[in-house]
Amino acid sequence: MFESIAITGISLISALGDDPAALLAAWHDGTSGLSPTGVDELPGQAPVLCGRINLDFTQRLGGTGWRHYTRSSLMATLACRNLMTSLADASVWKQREEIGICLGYNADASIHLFFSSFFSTLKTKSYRWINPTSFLNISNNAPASLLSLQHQCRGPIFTVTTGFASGLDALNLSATVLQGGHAPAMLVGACQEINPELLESFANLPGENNGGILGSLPRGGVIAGEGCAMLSLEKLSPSDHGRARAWVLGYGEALNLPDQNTDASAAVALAVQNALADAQIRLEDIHAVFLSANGNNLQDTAEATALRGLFGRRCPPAVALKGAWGECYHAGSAMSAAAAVLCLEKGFLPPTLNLAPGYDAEALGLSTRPQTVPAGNILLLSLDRDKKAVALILNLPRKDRAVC
Amino acid sequence: MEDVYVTGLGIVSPLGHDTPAFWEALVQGISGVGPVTRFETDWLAAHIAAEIRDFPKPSPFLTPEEAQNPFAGEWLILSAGREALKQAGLLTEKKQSSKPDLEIILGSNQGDFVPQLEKRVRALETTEASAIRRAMVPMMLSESAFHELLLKLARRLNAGGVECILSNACSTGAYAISLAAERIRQGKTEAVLCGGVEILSEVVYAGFSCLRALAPACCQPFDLHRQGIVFGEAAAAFMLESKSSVLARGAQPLAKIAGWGWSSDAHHLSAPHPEGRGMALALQRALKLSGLKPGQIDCLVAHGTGTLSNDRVEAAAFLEVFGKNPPPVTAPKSMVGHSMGAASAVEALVGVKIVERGIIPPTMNFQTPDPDCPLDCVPNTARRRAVTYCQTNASSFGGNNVSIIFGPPEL
Repeated sequence: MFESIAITGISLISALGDDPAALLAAWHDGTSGLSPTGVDELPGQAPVLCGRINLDFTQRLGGTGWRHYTRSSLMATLACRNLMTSLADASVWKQREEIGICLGYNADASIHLFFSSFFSTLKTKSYRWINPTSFLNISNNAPASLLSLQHQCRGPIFTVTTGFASGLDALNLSATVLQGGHAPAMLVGACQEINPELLESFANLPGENNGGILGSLPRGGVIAGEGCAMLSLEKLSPSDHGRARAWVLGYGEALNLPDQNTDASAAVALAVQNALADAQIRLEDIHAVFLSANGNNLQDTAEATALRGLFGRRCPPAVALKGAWGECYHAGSAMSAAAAVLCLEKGFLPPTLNLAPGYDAEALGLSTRPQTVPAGNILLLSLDRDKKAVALILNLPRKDRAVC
Repeated sequence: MEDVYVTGLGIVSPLGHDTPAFWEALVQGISGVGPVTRFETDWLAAHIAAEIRDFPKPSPFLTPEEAQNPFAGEWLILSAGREALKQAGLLTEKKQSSKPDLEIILGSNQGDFVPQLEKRVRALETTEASAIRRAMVPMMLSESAFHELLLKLARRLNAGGVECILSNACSTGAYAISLAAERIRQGKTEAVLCGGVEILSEVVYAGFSCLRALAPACCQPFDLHRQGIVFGEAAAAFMLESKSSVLARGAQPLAKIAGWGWSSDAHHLSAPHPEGRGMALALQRALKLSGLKPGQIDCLVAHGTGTLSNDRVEAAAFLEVFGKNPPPVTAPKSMVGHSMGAASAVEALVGVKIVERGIIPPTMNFQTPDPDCPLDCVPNTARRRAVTYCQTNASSFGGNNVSIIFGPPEL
């Protein structure tokens, strides 16, 4: 169990923008952030739906010198800047020397760019010089290191690369670092940019939508997205408890240890049970569930089976946010955590968009329109295909708040 | 808070495929460096590396079927992991963990993703950029994905606990070990298998060559005429356990992990802080957690890459923390090369062996002292010395620093 570890700030960038007020309005109105890819974006292929961020990052960040940095780094920079602006009044964030950073990230987009450049040009023409920045961008720790440089944070620094679970793993790791007294505060999050290879990889995932929660692409496959969430985590003293926007209660994970392509529902259920045990609460204490569901039938079916097995007919209200912004891979679960705090602070659960045709939403407690939900304990889930399941439980302190 | 002990070690390295062979070669000052055989280097300025050769061959830690597979990081870390489990007395006859809830925390920068991508691209009959990019598509969400290395290891060992893979560049192996130690210290778990793994990559090798960071002949840490890095590859594994677990099992610990410290330079994406501020912070934070004074450290295992800037900055950090006469410093990269994501785990393993055996391995290829690095580098010959506490230092691109202190295994 984590003691007094709180989320004190949130910044979220998705296909629905980076303004919290606009995001809440979009959720309330059921606005989708999905849009088709450009005509020539996927060579030789028809456009597919994706959750692309339509922000000019360099313009938003201002200044010069951004052209060598990856879209992920720019995303993380903007998200972190937005977050730090919101935290400016809290004294702990003025003591940067000890503050730590933890980012869920994989440099897949940079690796693809560098590889194609390397094997098509550099090697064949025997160039003996490469751009140091583009080379360093293939290192997974580049965005986290950039954030530490920009904000002069000299505390612990971690880059976590555990696929779909990267975001929740980063939150768990950061809470552990705080619990151990290694930093007074952590900047934690995850980022993921869209690139042609990722779009195509998700489009090629088996997804005939036989039992999937979210709708898939017309020819099967998952709708990819991009995004970044940054959260500030602090170990709060009792006098500071009022600054908590949410408390980190417990973490659990489980592997689907049998061979691949087997049903991972047992792993999902075990992850939830481990998280409940860690948080020292009961299943009936969960007030809302933020699903991992992304339209992949294998994943969605395992998740739904596990939840029905656990909760029976009394599933708490649930939402699958990826219906609105796509599967953001490494960033997806951190975005889910940030979104959970944002909307439940306002006392509502957004609707699940792009629900699979004919899916029995009611059986899983899925919201199909904005739904009033009291503050309380939130269960966040992340499932890495048929392999690793992660559950994180947050608690939102009950306050008087507007209900939608 | 729980005390943390090392109960098992495992390694596959250019100097040997298990810990005894590696340690024996290291103490004798044998070099693992030779010509690069894995890919062509004729268009580059450097042509040497410390490659792992003849692996897998019949091995006590791999099944005959596993040993048939092509060379890959997953087999290196599996072999090293099983060696560590076996030494700890936690390996079953089926070569799995006897603890079903065993946690695994690994450090790696590429996993098997980048080397496999290279193989795939080399097999193409085109150098057209879009074709090369398309070749990557089937790998991204498949068994070749970066973090699959971790999941495959967990499945083979039947380890069902928390699994995590860190990617903090060259210091990531020691980050994994220290994070594992932190989880045990806090009582979140009682046993973690941890370490680092990396295999040689053509793209990374060529990139560093183009950056003029590779040495042409040998790695000479702290020498006045040092010319850069010599790449290597390795897997190093640690079995860590809580004091309660050690006592309950009647296990024989090899060393205690007395402390660890993490820091970020917050200075530059590739260059270390010129005064070693970040490295010094990590060293000091490890000392603070351990409750030890600098004067109680008997030996330092250096990051010691052999580059002009790293070694100068590292020496500055040692002088800052330990004063004018730091304890003896050894730099294993002079023999095993720089195995990137595995390097700091390899050096941590060296730290444990130093405490266990009372021998400090030499820093090889040391000929001319550098006035900017006024250290006792244990040049070219191993030294016998009773070592109670040994401290390691690791850094990386982006300034991700970590230090670990190993001490005597008294319970």
